[in-house]
Amino acid sequence: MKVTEITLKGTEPLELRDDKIATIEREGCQGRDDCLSMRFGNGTELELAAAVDVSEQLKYPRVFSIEGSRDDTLLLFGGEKVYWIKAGGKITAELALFRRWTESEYWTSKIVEHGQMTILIYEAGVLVIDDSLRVVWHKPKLLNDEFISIEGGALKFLRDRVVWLMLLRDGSSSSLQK
Amino acid sequence: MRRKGSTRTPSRLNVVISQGKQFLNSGQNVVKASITDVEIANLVKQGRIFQPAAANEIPSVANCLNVDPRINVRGLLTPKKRGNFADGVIGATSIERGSTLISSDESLINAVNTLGGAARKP
Repeated sequence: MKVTEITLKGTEPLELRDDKIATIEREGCQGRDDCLSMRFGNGTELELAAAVDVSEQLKYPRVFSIEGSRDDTLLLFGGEKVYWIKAGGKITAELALFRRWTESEYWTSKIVEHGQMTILIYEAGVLVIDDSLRVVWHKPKLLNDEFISIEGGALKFLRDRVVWLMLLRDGSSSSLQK
Repeated sequence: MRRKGSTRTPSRLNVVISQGKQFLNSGQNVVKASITDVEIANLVKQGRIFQPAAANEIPSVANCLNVDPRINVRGLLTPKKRGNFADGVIGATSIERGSTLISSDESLINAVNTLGGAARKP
């Protein structure tokens, strides 16, 4: 797995297997500020709604590109939606996260690689994908559940002074531990 | 005379819920604007957050009632964002009190500093 954070200061290159496949840029659309404009080398143009991380905690908007074992597809993670994109400019799938644009002041994103899995931990949920970029599971969490670590096959979170676990195998939650 | 730095005002919920405890433990004189209590209550009601214990321990101070500084702060924020109303109140409250605003919001920090207040990231 290869994870690339792309800061969107202007027009930026998007690469797959170290080859530039498109240029990308944050733009406004539908009265919002989180669309991603994509221009591919073959002339294809895409406008991805709700694709950009516009967290108020960031100086510049950003998007994460995630490459797995498949040579022709990458995953884009940033806004309310995750997109699977083919190198030629075709959207093959999209997934709505538990993230809300109206809560962008709370948006945080952390990406952890663990074995063959990539774990996207964001303020409102956890999305786990495998090496083929397939969704293993996707679960919500509260905005102020704080991720601590991965221990013993589980994600460890802190809810004020109480620790709880989210099991890596299926995302199920353990009971709260004192 | 301003008392910059004498009182620190955690901004919106993002600081109160994530670092309120640390600020309390640091011994600093920490307060929050009353409007933050409304934001917290709304998010708890919507099932988006749990009630953070630190929020109960951080005293609330009256919101700035003067409309002019509230508008001035809002005028410098990114347009169309929900939450700008509350940010205007929070920013104006920190300026009025001569407090240092602690916020994770880049545009709110810039707005308060531009208007002669003091604001910074946690």
